[in-house]
Amino acid sequence: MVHVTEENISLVDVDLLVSECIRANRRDSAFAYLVSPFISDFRIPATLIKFASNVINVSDVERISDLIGLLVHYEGKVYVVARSPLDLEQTTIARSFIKKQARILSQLHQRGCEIRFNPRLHAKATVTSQGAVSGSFNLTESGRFFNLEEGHFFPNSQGEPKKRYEKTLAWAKGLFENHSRPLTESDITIVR
Amino acid sequence: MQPFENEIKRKLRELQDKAKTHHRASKRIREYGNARIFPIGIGYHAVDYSREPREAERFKESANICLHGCPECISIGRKCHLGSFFEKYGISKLVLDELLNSLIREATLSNPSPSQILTALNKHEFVVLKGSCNEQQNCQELVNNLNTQVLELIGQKVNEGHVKFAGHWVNMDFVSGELDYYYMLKVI
Repeated sequence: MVHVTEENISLVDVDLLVSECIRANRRDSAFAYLVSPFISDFRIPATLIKFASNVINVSDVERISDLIGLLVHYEGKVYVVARSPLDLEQTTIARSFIKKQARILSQLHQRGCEIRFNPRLHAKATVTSQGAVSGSFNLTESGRFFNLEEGHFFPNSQGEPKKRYEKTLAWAKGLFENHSRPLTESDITIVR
Repeated sequence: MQPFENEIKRKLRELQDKAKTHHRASKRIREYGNARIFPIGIGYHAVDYSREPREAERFKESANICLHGCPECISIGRKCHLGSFFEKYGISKLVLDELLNSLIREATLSNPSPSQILTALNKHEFVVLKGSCNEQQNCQELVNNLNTQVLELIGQKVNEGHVKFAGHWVNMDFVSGELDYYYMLKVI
């Protein structure tokens, strides 16, 4: 188990998704549950995305949406649970922010990710077949780089971290399958 | 004999002749070694030529070697940005692989313990975990073990940075048929 803060959350996030691309490329079962009330596209610093490989090619990745898209490209399954832009319009959140959320969700949907919504969502987690990272951080630039954040990374390895990983995976699956509704066209019409 | 083999033999003869006529350049190339063959090969600005301007040119000519005529040869930097001349640089994939192996040799570990990995990360700021296998079942087990070792280190604090998964590649030994799996971790 690794303590995660704003200093290493984006590193763990990127490494989890890159590892998942490698699994997908090997034709092993590969998936990612991205749970975050707020989501926006943001640039990944070059130091985080540099990866030497003759197995997968991450050289074209610049933004988080590219990396998620790469996993889908390698035939990994990506499941996203977020707050619907439609619901957010009923709040005091700035319209420009809601538009950003609608734009990234629309992009991810077009790339082949499955998007679902839960209006009471507050939890944040990234869960892949390799590990789970959960904590206070939204999948936004602020949540990944600027805010003071705190959480934990549980690798799917052995012992206690594996048990915690399995619990988090079961929770993410349950949230996606049983406690969220699918995306409809009206959820993202604000983007148009 | 294949045409590319003729070319290799021609290049070898040329190098042997140059070693006789340009002792100093030849000696310095050997001193530079594998790890710095690339900067030697790319031209005037890459090496100290203050004593003998022609020497850099000789380095360049001598180091521009394709060892085995591999079809995966690539061209790098057709034009030097520091000068107006064109630089044709053909480099063999095998040479690039050898260069990489030379650069990572000291930090490459086979079957290391967690403490050995952390020691290497502290010392070199990177480590390469290597495992070899030759049967599908062995390979799956090996990959799982290496993967677990990598996962357990991701994000951990080492020195003033954090451990990052920075590379994964697979090589095959053409003689034994063994697959070599490499996982690189780096402190950033």
